[in-house]
Amino acid sequence: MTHLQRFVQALYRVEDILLTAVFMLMLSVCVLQIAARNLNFTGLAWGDDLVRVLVLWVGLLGAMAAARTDKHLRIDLLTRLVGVKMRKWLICLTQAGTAAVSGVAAYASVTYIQLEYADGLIAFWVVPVWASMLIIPVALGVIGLRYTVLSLQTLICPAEHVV
Amino acid sequence: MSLLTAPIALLGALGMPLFALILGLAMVGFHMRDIDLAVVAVEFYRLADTPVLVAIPLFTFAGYVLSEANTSTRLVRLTQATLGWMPGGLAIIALLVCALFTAFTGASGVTIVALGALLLPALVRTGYAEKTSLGLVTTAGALGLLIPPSLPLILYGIVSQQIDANYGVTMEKLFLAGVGPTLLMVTLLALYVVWTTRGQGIRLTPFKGRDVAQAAWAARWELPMPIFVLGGIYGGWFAVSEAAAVTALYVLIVEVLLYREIPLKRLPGLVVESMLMVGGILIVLASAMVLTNLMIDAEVPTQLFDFVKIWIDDKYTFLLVLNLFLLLLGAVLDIFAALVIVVPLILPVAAGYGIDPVHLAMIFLANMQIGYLTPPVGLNLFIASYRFDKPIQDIYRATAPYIVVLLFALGVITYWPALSLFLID
Repeated sequence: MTHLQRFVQALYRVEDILLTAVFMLMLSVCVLQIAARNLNFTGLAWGDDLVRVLVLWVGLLGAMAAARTDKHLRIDLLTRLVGVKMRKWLICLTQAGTAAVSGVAAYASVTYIQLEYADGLIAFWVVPVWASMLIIPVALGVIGLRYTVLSLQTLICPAEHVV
Repeated sequence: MSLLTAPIALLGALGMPLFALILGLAMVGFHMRDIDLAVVAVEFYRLADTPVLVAIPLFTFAGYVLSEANTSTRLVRLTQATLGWMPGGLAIIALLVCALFTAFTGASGVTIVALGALLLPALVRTGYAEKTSLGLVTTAGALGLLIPPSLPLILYGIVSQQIDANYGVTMEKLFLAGVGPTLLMVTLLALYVVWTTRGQGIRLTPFKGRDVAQAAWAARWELPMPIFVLGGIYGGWFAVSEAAAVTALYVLIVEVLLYREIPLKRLPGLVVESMLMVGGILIVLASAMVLTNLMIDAEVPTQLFDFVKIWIDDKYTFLLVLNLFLLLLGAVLDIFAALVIVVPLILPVAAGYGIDPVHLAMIFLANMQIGYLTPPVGLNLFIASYRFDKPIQDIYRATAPYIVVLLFALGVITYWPALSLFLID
């Protein structure tokens, strides 16, 4: 295993741990809030807001993980019908297109977060909205990077081995 | 900039991920209307502004845990002991168990993987022809989309509330509406199987109270689940998101601590696998919200309604055209993508023709269910072909008669709104 591969594997592990932690936190806070409501003790005043932000984080961390192996939903009609050579080029092209769209979207969200930072509104407890939103450019950026790498891998891979 | 629309659409047709297709088109559209692309972040952040959305990751996780444990085996054993004595009993079991399993595990094709290997050999052993059994199991794997807590049903509720809360679509109404149509489909499919297999010497399982008791005892921890999920929601004890949290927690306790079928160290893996699917759905949902925003800004639904109105004057013709469109859509597009992209467009148009949005949900999902079984991209056909190691053409042929039955059911669901709406005030 090269240093780069080792680094990527370590990164995947960190992401997986973060995703699991965010999910478990979301589940725990949900259960705590229900218990509080039904058993008449005070839950977290900002618990429901926290859960909603965690849903965003879980979803986008999941979408990031799905980009590792190009596991995103698609209409897969034509690539089944063309020859292996053509297929390789089509896949490479769609991956590059995905990278470009994600990159532009990530950039656009960064500019919005700068505006939110200036406003300084609070999302829950002491956490500001801009911090809760950080996952949006991060996820779109990582997805963009992953699709850039995927399209390069497809480019250098022999046509018969493209999956 | 508008020159970019065609290449992006083409890439989408060539297999670019849907979120990138939708997001790309939306961003080009906003740019052309001189609206800042920061709207992307605003719409994505709406994922954090939709309280009921938490139900999706929680129910999906619960479903992944259930399909990893031996729940499917216990469920089949219990229903066989209870219903196996009836003519067509095992076929009815297959239909009911699959519908319930799909409702609880999302619509990812996992039902055929988890239950197919149990039900297909059982059907063949009892004397059903292989072709009949193959078609039945493949079809049964698609049932259950219309009953709670199925993800597509929840997603329809979320999408319609985001377009306009005034349509009055609530989760509670959607959850009640699916009961009638699902019972109709199960009944018609069961009757069809009983009728085609008459005189084929199918062995029945005699009813033994002892077997039922043993099977029920084995499934004692899982049995209460549908009762408190559905009972909790219908009875007004829980909101949908609360029911999802309670279900996820309960499933964890039952499968990890009581049955001990899932080791603790397997949990992070299950979380990641299930959230991969959730992430795939939510990023398409977020992208579709960006596009919907653009379409509403450009008054596309109103223009679409005006355009359709030129050609179609009455509700009944509209419903017919709608069904044909949705069948085609279901054949080429994934159910979640179809939901988040198409519902914002057709809901206002259908409402213009006086169709109840809750009734529309049933029509939509019944079509998508058939889409799981129609070539070229019917997901269940591929999963069944893979799981049972049969050529896809065999699966097409085996499933075709069941599709005809489901099309008939679709007609009834479409033109008899009361079937969906009778439980709702």
